[in-house]
Amino acid sequence: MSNKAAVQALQAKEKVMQDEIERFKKLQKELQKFTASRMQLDTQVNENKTVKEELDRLEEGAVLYKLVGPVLVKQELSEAKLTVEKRLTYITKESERYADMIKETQRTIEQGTEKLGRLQQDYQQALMKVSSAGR
Amino acid sequence: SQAKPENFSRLQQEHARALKGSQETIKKWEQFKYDYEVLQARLHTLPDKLTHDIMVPFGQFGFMRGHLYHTNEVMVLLGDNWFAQRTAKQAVEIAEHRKKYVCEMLEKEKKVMEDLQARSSFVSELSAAALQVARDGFEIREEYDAEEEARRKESKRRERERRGIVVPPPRPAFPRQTGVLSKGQGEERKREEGEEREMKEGENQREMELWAALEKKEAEEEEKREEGEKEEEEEGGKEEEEKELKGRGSVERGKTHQAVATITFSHTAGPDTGPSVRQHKSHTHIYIMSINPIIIQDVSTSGVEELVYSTPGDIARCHGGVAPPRETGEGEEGGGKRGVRWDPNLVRHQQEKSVATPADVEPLQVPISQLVREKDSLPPNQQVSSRKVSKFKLSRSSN
Repeated sequence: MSNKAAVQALQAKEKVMQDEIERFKKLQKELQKFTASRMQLDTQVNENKTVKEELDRLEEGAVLYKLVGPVLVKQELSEAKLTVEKRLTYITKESERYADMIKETQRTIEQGTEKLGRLQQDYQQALMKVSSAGR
Repeated sequence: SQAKPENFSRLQQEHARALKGSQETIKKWEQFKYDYEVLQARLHTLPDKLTHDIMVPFGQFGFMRGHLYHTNEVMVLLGDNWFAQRTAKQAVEIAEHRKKYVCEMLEKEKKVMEDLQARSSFVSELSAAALQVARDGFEIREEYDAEEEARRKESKRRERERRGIVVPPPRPAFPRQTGVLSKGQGEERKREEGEEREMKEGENQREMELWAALEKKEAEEEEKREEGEKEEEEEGGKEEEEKELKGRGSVERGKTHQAVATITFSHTAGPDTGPSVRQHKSHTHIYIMSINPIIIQDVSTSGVEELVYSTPGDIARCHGGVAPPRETGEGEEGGGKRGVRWDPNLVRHQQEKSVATPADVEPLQVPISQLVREKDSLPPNQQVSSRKVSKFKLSRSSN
């Protein structure tokens, strides 16, 4: 009887462990995504900064175009400047948001590792019990 | 130890890799710079003509003849899908700015590479040195400064007095002994100069002289007192690194045993202290007792009440709890001191007190049987003689 109970306990523990592992993997994937998008945002920030500098160097009345799809749309300098600034702020905000999310995910991952470790220990103990009970 | 060739080669591998990466980055930036320069040259020549006849790249492989109009108008990409129409000259300026940025990055990268190179060269030097050390060892030299040493000794002594640490009285200095030790004094002076080399030489010489004296005494003793001889004396003389010159049987009990040679280190000898000062305190005595301590073989046959010691502990027990201290003892005066210091001479002296020892130089007058407490224990064939027969010889022959 004790053997059966031990086996059942073992199975239950195994299931719990599997769930935890899957959650862990998901978390890691999310982390990767966040890091990638954050890098992208970083490059965009840099680019926009360069554009802003160039626009500042342009004299008044310069001819400016924006590429929207296959179309080059004529823009005015002031408008362009504004747009670029807005875009810049937006991107910086996004980048920060992503940074926070990344930190969060990392923390959850750490916790997950600990939990996983504990579960594994439990599992091992249960395994030993089963094997000893089975004898 | 970590100084293995494999570890170093691994480190150097990593360095080489980092160096290569850095070099590639530098190449990339230089390529950019070159591109911008070419661009500027082109922009220079572009507005020279109203139209240019050119071969227009067509698709992936082909070219087509074409014309280039509006030679002064250049559409510049500002980044992030923004375009600006500029003249050739203005475009040149833009290109100049970008080139400047590229140059800055190039400089940074070059610095990084220099740093890496310095690091790797340092590692290679270090590895050579460390491997050598691992093989041959590292010579530790201590400079000897006479004044400093004197000061240090003084302060130490004061410290000890303050703490109330009792220190045994000084052993008489060497110069009171034979000519051997005037050499020792000369040695000390040499040591004062702080030359380790010379000290070693002096020590070697003194050692040899000591050995010579030892051997002479041994020869004498062999003739005089074969019975009283114990193995330990022979052994004591012949132990290799034994710096201990035991007072060989010439137990003048009033006299202090000064024969214990000491290994002194240069930093302990003081020039100003001179022989009268307690030198031994700061000396490190290497005081090697016999490894097979004081064993008298064939005790059963001789029946002499001679103790068989197998360990110094035995000796200690036999002599009423005189336990050898953990640190090496000093050669104290014969007759023992305060029971604290361990001295093999002590043992022997105490023993010899109970036994009638002959005078120093004279041959043994007393038959061995009188030296023995239990006469009956001697086998009959040994009891008789007034001959000077070595117990050992007898026992050996009986074996």
